[in-house]
Formats: sequence, structure tokens, C-alpha cells
Amino acid sequence: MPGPAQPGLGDKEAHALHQRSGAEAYGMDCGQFAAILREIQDKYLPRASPAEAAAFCAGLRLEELALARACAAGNERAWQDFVNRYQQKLHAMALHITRDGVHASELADSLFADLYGMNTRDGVRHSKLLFYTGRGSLEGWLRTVMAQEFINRYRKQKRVVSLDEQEEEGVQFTARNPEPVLTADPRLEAATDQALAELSSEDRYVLAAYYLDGRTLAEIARVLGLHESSISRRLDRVSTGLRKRILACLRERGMSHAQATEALETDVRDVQLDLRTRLAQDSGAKAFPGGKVSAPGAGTDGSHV
Amino acid sequence: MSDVPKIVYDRLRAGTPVGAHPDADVLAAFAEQVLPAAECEDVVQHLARCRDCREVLALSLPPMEAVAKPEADREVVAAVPVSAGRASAEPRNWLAWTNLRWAALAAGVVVVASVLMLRPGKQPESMVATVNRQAENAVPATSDAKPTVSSADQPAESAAAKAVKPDTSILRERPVLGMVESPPARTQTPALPAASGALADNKRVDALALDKRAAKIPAAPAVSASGGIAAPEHVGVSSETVEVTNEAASMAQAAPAQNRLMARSELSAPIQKAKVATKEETELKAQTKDAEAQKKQLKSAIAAPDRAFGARKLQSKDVAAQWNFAQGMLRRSLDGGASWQTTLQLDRPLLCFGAQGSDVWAGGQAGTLFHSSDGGTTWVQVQPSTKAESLSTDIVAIEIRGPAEIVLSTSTKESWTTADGGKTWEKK
Repeated sequence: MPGPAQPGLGDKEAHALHQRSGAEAYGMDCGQFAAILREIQDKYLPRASPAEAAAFCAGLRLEELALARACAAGNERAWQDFVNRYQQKLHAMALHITRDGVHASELADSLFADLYGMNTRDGVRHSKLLFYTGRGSLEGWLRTVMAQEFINRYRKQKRVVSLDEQEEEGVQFTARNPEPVLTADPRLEAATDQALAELSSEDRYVLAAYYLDGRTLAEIARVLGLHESSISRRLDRVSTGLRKRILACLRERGMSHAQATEALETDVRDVQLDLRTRLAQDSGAKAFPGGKVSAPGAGTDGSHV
Repeated sequence: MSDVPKIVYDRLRAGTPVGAHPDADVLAAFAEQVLPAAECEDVVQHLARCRDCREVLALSLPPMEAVAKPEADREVVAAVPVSAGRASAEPRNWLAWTNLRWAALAAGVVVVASVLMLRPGKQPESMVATVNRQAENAVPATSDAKPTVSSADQPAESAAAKAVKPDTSILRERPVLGMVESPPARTQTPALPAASGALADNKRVDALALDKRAAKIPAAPAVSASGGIAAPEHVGVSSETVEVTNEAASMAQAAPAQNRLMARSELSAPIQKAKVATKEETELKAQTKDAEAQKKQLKSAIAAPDRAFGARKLQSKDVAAQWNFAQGMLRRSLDGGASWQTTLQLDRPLLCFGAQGSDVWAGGQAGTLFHSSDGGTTWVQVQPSTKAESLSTDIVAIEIRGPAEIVLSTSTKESWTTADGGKTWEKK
């Protein structure tokens, strides 16, 4: 049996927020604005009490929300305000993201078209500004949307490359490796997965952003709202702790300390290359049928990597 | 930065995103750090496993210069739980360590500076000046000394006293100078005791000689009525030449009495020179070598600017000083006990003293120790201390064993010894 319906945002609060937003200047009455607020509240806080809903809605960027929704509704004055306020910023954002003038103009114009709603569906103009909910600033939202668009668009374009152009640029293409991809010791994988799973989300984010994405300490610090030195210390702490934890997990899985240390320190891919070279020099025979190579420290239990 | 094993790279890369990708609104709010804590955790959890979202977030961060500028159009919403989601979105905490560390650094600098200024054995300038001013303003407690200046000389002496005017430029350029002033015993010239106030900045004032002049001054030489200034009596510690002119006599008339330090006479008539040699004079020469150094400074300070003026030679004889305590004050008599002058008076009573020649030491409560090397005219506070500690207990006895060897006894039965006149101390 469904619970009682939550009343959500009250009319009185909606009226006060409507006045605060300045939506009336764009021809948006209190009812329309209250409907927008309730839609947003339903999306993020569907079961909020009236007080929670009022507090949530009061924390939204009401003025920018009214502007965005008025633009989406086709209000000319709103568009004029939007263009005056954000056109230059959009180009600056595009240049910051693409770091290329031509691509920046292309990206900004494309986004502007999306915002205006050049695409029509069933004869109705659909503006991207309809998705703005006022959680953050409109400028921040535009920047994020532009970054998403950049990644979606240019990453796809990048995948379609001209081999001739690349050859002219001196890119050398390696032959496909016929060898099957070797995997690490499953115990090592399991131990690493366990140690990673025990990390906090922030620690894992810091690890991934630093080691995988190559972000700088300053960039990570800005995202997390911390000082750069805090990120540095945290990276040191997490790296050290992670190594210890993986070793502990390996020992729990039956490895001795020496075996665990060796398994952790040795990169199986390096081992594979060394062994392959050596084997090729020595005999060229199939020393390890199936391409399987025993990893040092893998123990004597017959497991392979 | 310590690296992580390569297997960690692989497993991090193999991680699959948790939940749906956050929409642009949430990512923007996260980047602006206005997302509630609960949602923040979800976003971070997703970001930790989703490379695409991390890339979008990194690209959507505004440039650093844009971050530095406050958003002018930012709407400030107070008491909104959304803005209270992350600690970094809250108003800056001025008591946070990141801020306090600068305050701690500043406090450390202040402490170091204070220690350097108040290091043991070094008396703050203001305290020394106060004590010296007290010593110089000392008024005979039981002054039964009869005026040694004849009545006929009085007007002339007064004129001379009025003509005393400080050469402030000399004072500024040469902070340690012995200055000449009229004897304080001459009560007929009330401006004289106040004149010493101008000596506050001089640590070493040769007022001992002046006091001696007051006690042993002979009948002043004949005064030239036309000159309007008394011929200088034979005072001073030893042969001391002071060029005197009454050029500034008229200026000094208007000058404050406390600023009157030396007389200048513009008399065209030659100043009568007089010299009295006594037995004590030769003894005094041997005893006060540093006083001579001061006199050389005085000579160069005073005589150099006005070499064209006439000069006179001041000489005096020394008299053994007697010391006693009265109501916690150290008193001195230069006339065999006939009259006594308070030479050292502190806020707290003095407890003991020791004197040998012109070296006088006076001790008091809480390690208070003063030293005068000129027979009580100027005093310098000394803080007995070792590397480990400073003397802070009451000094109950002072024993002078040699020219520079002093032994202090304290109320806690400690014994502090110096062999170099108070520069370094040893606790026993």
C-alpha cells in the first residue's frame, strides 16, 4: 500500500521563491515557476517534507533557473539577457576546453544551437536549457554540458583517423600481438580488488585521478576542495597503505611474505617479455605450451598467470 | 610521491562505474562544492570508478584565474542545507590550522624578537634611563651643606645655569657622552637638578664629578660683572677642558630648564682660568680610567663644533663616598656623612649593596641587581643568568672580592658569581 502523498513545496513558499527569482520579468507567473520547482524537487528529493522541499528549493539558483527556463520557453527578453551574459563566456569556456580556436568556435556554436533548441521533435523546439535545474550555477552547468559535448563529439571524431595522415605525421603502427593476453595471478587480482574496495571513495578517486588520469595535485585538490599538500599526503598514505593491505590479503590467500612481496613487485608483463626473449634465444621451442608462463613467486601450487 | 604496484593500475582501470552517471547539474554543483554531503559521497563514489565523468569534471573546472575572482553574480543564500553540504563550501574557518599556522609563525617571530630585546643581562633602554634619571635627580636627603658660593656669585651662577642649553645634535650623534652640568648642591640655582633630565638617553653620565663639585667646591673665582657669567669653579674629575661660550645664553633663557646642559659664553673677555691641584686628584686619575675616556668623548663632542671659543679647564678632587640604606633606597654621602643623597631608588626596596671604589652594586627583590661603575651616578641593571636559568630570587648579600669578581647570595641560599664584572655568571 503506497504511503501518503508528500505535499512538497507549498504555495506560499513557491510564491516567495517566484518573487525572489525575478521570473515575472520573463513573463513567467507564480504557477509556472512553482511547477518547475516541484518538478526539480521531485527529481532530487521525491519524498521531501514541505520544510525540506522549501529549504531545497530556496537553495537553488532561482534567478538563473528562471532565466534558463524562460529561454527554453522562447522568451525574447530572456534570450537577450542570456546572450548578453553568457555568449562571451561560452566561447571562453570552449577555448579553455579545446585549447584550439577553430574547435572552440565550433563547439561553442554547436552548444549555442543546442541551447536555443534548433532540433525540433514533433514540431516542438527542444532546448537543452530545459535540463538546467539550478543546483549549481548556470555558468558551471554550461561548462559541464560543453565538456560532455566535447568528449562525446571529439572523441568520436578522433577515433576516425586517417591512416595516411598519421603515417605522414610519422606514426608507426605496431603489428597486432598474436600472443594471448596474459593475466596476473588471480590471487593477486583478488587481493588488489579487495584492498581497493576497502578504500574510501575519496581515496580511490584520488588514486584514479592521479595515477590513471594523470591529473595534477592541484587539479585533484580543486575538485575535492582540499589543499594540494593534503592531496599529496593522502596519496602517500593511500599508496603505502594499499601496498601493505595487498600484501596482507595475499598472505591471507596462502602466500608467504616473500612470495607476496615478489608477486606484488613483479609485473607479469615484464616477466613475460623477458622470458619470451630468453626462450627464443635458447631454443625457440614451445617451452610453455599455450603461451602460459609461470610467474615468479606464483608458488608451487600449479597456478599460472 | 610513492608509486603503486602496476596491478593497482590494472584493477583501477578495470573498475566499473557505480550507478548512473550524474547529470550535468549535479556535476556542476559538485564542482562548485555546493552539493549536500550525501550526494557528494555518491558522486565521488561514481567518479572513483568512472573515467568519463572524471574527464568531464576535470574539463568543466573553470580556469584558475576565474576561480580566484569572486563571482559577482553569485546569489547568496543563507541557511540553506545545500550549501552546507561540504566543508569547503562553508564559510572559511579562520581558526583552521591552515590559517593558524601563519598566526603561529607570526607569534614565533614576536617571541624571538622579544627574547632578543630582553635577553638576560641586557637592560631595556627605558629602565636604565629611568634609574639614571633618578640617580641624577638625587636630592640630598639631609642637606646641611652650606652654600659655598658667595652671594655675589649667585646671580652670575644663575645666569650660567640659565645659559645651559643642550646640544641635542650632539646627544643624538653621540648617545654615550659625559656631560657637564652645574653642581646639584647649589640650591640657589633650582634649574640645575632639572637639567639632568635631558641626560635620560645617556647611560654614562659623569655626574659623580659634579656632585663632588657640590661638596668640595671652593670659593668661586671672581666673577666678571661685565661678562655676566661666573667664572667656572674648579670642578670635575680631572683635567677636563670645556669650551664655554655664552653665545647661546640668550637662547637658553627661553629654553626649558631641563634642557640646560652646558653653558656657552660669547664673552670677548678671556675667561679666567683656575686650577686647583689636590692630592685626591692623582688618586682619582688612577681610579677612573673610563671616566677619562668619557671626557675625551665629551671634549670632542663639545669642543669640536665650537673650537673658536674660549676654553677653561675644570679640575676637581675626589672624596671617598659613603653609602647607606634608608627605607630601601641607596644613599651616598660625599662629605663624610654630613649630607646624604639618594642615588638609587626603585619601585621595590633594595636589600643589599656592595661598594668598592667607584664600583657599586645594589641588589633587591626578584633578582634585581644594579651596577654603577661611576660611584652611583649612573646605574645599569644586570640580570644574572646562566645558560640554564636566570636569577629570580631575592639578593640578600653582595660581596665584592675583586675589581670584577662579585658574589651574590640569595634568599634561597644560592650563590651567583661573576668574574668579569657581571657579563657572565656562574651559579653555585
